[in-house]
Amino acid sequence: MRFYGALRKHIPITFWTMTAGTLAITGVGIAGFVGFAGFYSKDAILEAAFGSGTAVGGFAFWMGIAAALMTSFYSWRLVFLTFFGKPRWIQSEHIQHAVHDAHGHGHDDHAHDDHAHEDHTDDDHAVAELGSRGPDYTQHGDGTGGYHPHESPLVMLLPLLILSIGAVAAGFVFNHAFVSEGTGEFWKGALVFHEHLIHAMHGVPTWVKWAPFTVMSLGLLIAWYGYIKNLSFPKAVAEQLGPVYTFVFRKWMFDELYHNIFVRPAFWLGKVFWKVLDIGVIDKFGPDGAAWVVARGSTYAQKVQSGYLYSYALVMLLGLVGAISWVIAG
Amino acid sequence: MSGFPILSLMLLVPLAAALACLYLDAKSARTVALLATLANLALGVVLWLNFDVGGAQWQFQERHELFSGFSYALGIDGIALLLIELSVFLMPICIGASWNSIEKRVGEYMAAFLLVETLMIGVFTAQDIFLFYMFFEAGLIPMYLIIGIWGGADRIYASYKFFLYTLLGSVLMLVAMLWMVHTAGTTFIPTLMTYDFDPQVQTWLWLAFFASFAVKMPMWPVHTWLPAAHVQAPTAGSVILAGVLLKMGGYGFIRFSLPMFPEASAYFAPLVWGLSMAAVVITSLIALVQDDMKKLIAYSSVAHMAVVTIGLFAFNVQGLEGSMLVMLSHGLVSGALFLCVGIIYDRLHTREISRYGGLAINMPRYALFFLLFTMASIGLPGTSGFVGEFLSLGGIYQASSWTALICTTGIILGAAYMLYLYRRVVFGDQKNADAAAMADLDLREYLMVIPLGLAVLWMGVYPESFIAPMRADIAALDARLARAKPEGDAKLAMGKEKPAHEEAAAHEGAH
Repeated sequence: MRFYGALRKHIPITFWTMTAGTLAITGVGIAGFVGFAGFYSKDAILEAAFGSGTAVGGFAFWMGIAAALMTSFYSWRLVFLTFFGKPRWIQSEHIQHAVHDAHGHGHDDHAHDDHAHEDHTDDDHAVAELGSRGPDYTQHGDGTGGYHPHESPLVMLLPLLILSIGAVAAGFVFNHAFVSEGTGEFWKGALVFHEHLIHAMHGVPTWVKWAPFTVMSLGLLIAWYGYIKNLSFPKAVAEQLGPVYTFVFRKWMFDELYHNIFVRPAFWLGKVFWKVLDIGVIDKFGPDGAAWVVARGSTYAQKVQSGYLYSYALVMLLGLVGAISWVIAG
Repeated sequence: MSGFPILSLMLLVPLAAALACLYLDAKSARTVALLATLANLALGVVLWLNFDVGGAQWQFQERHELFSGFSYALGIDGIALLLIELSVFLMPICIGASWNSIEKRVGEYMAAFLLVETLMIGVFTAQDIFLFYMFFEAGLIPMYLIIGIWGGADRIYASYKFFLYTLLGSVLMLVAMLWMVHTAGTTFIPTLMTYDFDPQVQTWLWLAFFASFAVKMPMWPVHTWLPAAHVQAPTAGSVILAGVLLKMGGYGFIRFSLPMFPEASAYFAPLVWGLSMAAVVITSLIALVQDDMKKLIAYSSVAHMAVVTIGLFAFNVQGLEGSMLVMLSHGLVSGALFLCVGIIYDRLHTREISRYGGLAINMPRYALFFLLFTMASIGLPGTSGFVGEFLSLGGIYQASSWTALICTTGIILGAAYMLYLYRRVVFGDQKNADAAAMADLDLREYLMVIPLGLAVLWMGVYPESFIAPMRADIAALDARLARAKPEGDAKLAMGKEKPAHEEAAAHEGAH
């Protein structure tokens, strides 16, 4: 998204399907009237949580409202950064290489692959910088770098169109059959229809019914301010938050935690089990050890059977001496 | 169909072809071997179609007395039927996998493989305990030659390790067999399966059989021959080793140890659980750190076979059916995975994971099949791996919840090492120019991976086809084990009935 911008005019069908999806996922709709697919499910869940009247239900309601606010903010942020504003394509190393290759020695798919690795490291640098300094979405001059994106082929557009129809209309069409009274025919008891809760859900105060829509609008507004109106705002926020921003940017350090708690010990244990247990103990004292004993044993046994008459005579003589000593001593 | 000695014919076809191959040149030996294995596959289909599901326990029986109680007795039940089907299904694929990659002594190679087929079918059809022993042990010889002659650089070490490991255990089994025949007065396996040996003696007999089957299986800690053998064996050798020969251990448990020594089996069940838990965790972690593709899959086989042993020693129908399905599934999936390794090994002649990468770009169709078998190995629902593992773990949960808990980590670790392998080989950048230049599957390779892929999906989507023939045999075994069944620690209880008023409310709401 950092390297997109202004794609609205270049890939209009993708833009409109994306917008339909965003409207649905942020739960846009007018309470009690009509809305996109996400509106019906989100509102039903939040109202039921509030309507249950329990402490847990209330907690779930407020958490849900907070999540709705953030969903709206990040979804619209995605749309604004990607499809609105000025192109920032030139900032991407990937695009730079592609354009360079196209101008230099003909664009082919291999150029793409050859640079994939370098590009990766460039991105890593960019990410590391972002983690400490915050994002920069300003772009001066023509940010296209002479690159012109094109709409996806039909194989991609058709699924997009079909899915966006669902995003727009699925809630309106199926709401009655799924979550209203008379759902018995569809669920046939697979889900328990809790009549009290449904009544409580319909009876929640008006502000509860309007709360999701309000936070959705608030999220939209913040996203609009930060990513269309005042592009230096996100950077200012990131700098203000400092370590908090870095922590969240690094995904709460989950990758690092998992790497140290699970991945590294698993690999270390695997190596120990393999090198020490399998090779060092089982094989050493098992088959290889047995083979060693046999080899050594046969070397000694071989020496005894030398075939020389005098050594046999010596053994006989020793035996005879031993036997006589035993008889005399006994 | 009754009276026609189809089992003998299935032993004879590959044996005759093996003899012929010894005297043929490379080209005709390949053709003869392929035709013979296909003919046996056709016979296998006829056998399955004529198998009377729900009929007599033992079918297609043949019996000829030879001398002093020893007889040529063949016959199969549902369990043996499925393992025979697995064998005859994998054999043409093995011949196909060796088509171009084996260049020296082709006639002898094909003869060795056809002999392996005869001996494998012999193991699963024998009804005389000594006949079984002969087939069981003789199978070592051609396999020893296949690894020792047509194997990789370290083939001599691997073949000796394989031979001595497996032989040592089997000698104890022979002693136990002699004692059993002397006591029970018969060599006929179905009779022995219902003979009640003195529980005290059972302990010793069980241990003697365990020495053989545990090595064959292989169970931890007597598994170290397997990685060596797999790494050195030619592709087809690995396929048949993982696909069928490992199943002889499981077959031995289900045919001998469990029905003949129920009390001893129950007594030693905690030992088996312990070794299985160790195997799942230890060998899965070892698989995770391998750089050699074949070694990785070999170690994963040990972990999967441990799921078989916990299912067998769960002492319930779920566990037994699960372990049989894991055996069949693992036969297909690990065979297919070794084949997938072989396909790229034929092109680049290395098993080093790091020498590949980005194959999805230049070998997309190969990547598709490799992914299917990877997913089946992990146990993705819809593939064969899921059904058996789920049943096995469900079965052992009723007997020992701790064993179930520890062994379930095998599914997570399995996903870890298989996806890590797939990611390094198929995804990522094309790091090596020679790997990036490899061609996608050719017709011969399609003909090998497509049937395997279909079978994996068939078993995953409709396992009933494979459970139905053995259902009665598993039930009979379960009934026989009932008297010794260890009490489980899970204490499963039925869920409570829903209170009446809630039910009514739900209905009111509905209308």
